[in-house]
Amino acid sequence: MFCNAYRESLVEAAAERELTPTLQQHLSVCESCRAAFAEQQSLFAAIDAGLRPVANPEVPATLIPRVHVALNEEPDAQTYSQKWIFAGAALAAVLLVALVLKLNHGTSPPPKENIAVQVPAPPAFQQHESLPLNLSATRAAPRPQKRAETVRLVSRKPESLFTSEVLVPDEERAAFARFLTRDQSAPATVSAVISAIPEAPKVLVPLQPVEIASLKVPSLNGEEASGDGF
Amino acid sequence: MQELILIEPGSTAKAEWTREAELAATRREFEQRLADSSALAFRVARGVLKNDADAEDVAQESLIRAFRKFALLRDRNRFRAWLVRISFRLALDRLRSAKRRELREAEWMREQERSRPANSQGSREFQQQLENAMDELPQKLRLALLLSAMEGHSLEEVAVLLSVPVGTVKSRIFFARKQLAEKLRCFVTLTENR
Repeated sequence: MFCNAYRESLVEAAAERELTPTLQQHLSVCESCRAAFAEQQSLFAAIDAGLRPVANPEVPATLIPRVHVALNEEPDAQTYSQKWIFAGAALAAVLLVALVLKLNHGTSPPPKENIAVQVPAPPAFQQHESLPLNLSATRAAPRPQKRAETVRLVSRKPESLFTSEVLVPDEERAAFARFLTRDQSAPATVSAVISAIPEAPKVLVPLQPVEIASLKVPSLNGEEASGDGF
Repeated sequence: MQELILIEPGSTAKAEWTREAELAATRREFEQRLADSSALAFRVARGVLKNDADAEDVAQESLIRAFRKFALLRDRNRFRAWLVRISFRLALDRLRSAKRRELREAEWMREQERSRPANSQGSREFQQQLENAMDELPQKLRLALLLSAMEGHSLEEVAVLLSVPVGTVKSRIFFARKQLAEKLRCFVTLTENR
């Protein structure tokens, strides 16, 4: 058994196979440590002896022929490396395209409906919307309906209104408001246009029956004869 | 002028011939290395798996993988170090399969019985304990100890194979042996007393 003061040093010395002069001096005077050190040395020798067969087994004679056979079945090494290079390049290209698309999408102007909505819907629209259906203004009716539908769509998503205000310049907004104000001032014109569309006359104008006195049908041969000049 | 160069039929054939020559040279170089590196791949795998058949499979797989990427290896002098890493990693992967492990251990026991009929019971037990203790070592210590125990490997060569300084190799071997000694101390004392 080792003395407590030299235990660690002597174990390490046995592992490293090196003894310092101090340890040598202690071993020369301490029989217990000498015996323990010898035991420790024999332990390390047994470990080294046990490791040797584990680390140096005989290599099977079949290994290299097997590898040669497998190599003959393999495509070229360069083909493999090229495949990896092409795969990497393709992946990089896909990522680049995705990045560009994402950037473009991020900087693109907001949808048109949002711009149209940023200004409060004018009363003129409401007037149009409230027009009686029996006016059947075939040219004017679809447009106000479309605008009204746009207003409803965006009003369900208030967060998009905020985005629209940021993206539309002030002067454009003012110009659009002016346009709507001018448009608002002519509801009479609109109603006049709508009311001016006449309803289709339901009464037919009577006509005298046409009487055909005689009908002359020229023969085709005669035409051919007259067409000799062609 | 450019068009003439582009459609020159001889240039394609020449490029193809050059490529084939390069491939043949790569193959030749790999086969030269194969002769002296296959044993290393096998022994590293065998040190982990403790089974000849499994180790042979792993060594073959390591060499094939090495061949596939051989053209990408810039420093061909590091081929053996590269192969050691591939083989060790593949062997560890295979070891993780529980089913294979059971079969391997059974086979290992049978092999031991066949190969050492004259050995004493204590010696066989010690060897088994040593193998078990090695399995429990951290991977870095285990590989350093295994490579240093291979015949013909100096500390400098192990350092090259592991791509670490010689001092690191010494340190790893020291700690590995110390851990093994701690696990086997009682066992050796008992056998010495017999």
